[in-house]
Amino acid sequence: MTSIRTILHPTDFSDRSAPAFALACSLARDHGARVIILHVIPPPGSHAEVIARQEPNSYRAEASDRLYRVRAPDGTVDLDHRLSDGDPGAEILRVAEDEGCDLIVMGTHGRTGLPRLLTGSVAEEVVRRAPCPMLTVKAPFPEPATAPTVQSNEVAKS
Amino acid sequence: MSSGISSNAMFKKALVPVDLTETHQQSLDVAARLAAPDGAVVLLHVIEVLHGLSREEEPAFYQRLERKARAHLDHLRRRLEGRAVGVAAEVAFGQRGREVIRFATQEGVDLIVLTSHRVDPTDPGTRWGSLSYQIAFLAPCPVMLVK
Repeated sequence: MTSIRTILHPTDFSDRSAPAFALACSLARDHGARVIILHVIPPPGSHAEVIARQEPNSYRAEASDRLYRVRAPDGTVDLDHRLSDGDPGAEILRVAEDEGCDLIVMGTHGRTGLPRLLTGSVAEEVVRRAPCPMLTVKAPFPEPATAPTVQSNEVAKS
Repeated sequence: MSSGISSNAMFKKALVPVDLTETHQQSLDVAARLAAPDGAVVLLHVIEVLHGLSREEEPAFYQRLERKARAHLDHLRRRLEGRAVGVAAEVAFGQRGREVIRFATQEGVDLIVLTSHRVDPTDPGTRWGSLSYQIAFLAPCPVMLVK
């Protein structure tokens, strides 16, 4: 890692991904790097899922909507949204290779939210085969020191 | 945070667990890079206490291991000379994973940088540090795995 130019953050939109995303953005700001936020839609696990995904507002539309709504907490960070289909572990590794990522920042044990995406086994596969350093972040992670401070005049008003 | 470099993503205390090999250059570099300007990199070497052979029973044996470890830690510290971070080195006794977690928790470490190596995908599960994995999932802070 000579310098950090591109950071990959795979997300499953769960609470477990949130601290990893915040840290990815802070690191990006510090190092002048770009963040790729990646969500991988795994193949349907059942016939019912195949049917369900054909409905309007289906899984894919919802995932896409959620992904593109994600904004960096700090507006100066260059954020690149990617939606991908396939095996989550393999897709994360493929994007990391293709984009020449310098760092993967990933929450571990994201088992809440949309199902099955970033289970421990995906994180484990990525850890094992990643072409670059990987930062694993467990939730909860302490809030960054930039939490909004209450102005004294607001206190006086209340 | 108006200054260009200081920020909340910089780590105050980056722990680098090391063994007595030469494989840690990359981890040292990453730790120094990610540590805050007023932060520190702490090198930790854990001497495994052998089952049935306590330190009390064989003090000379463990002292010899500790001397060797400290010499190597000094050697690694010199690699970070000239970097804008403080460097400390510690030796602990016990089981590696447990001691790393204990140290990180007690000393308020906010980043652990582990040296791992890329695993042959056709040969999964073998040799690879269940140790790194264990630390990554038990650590109280973010864990960086560096190849």
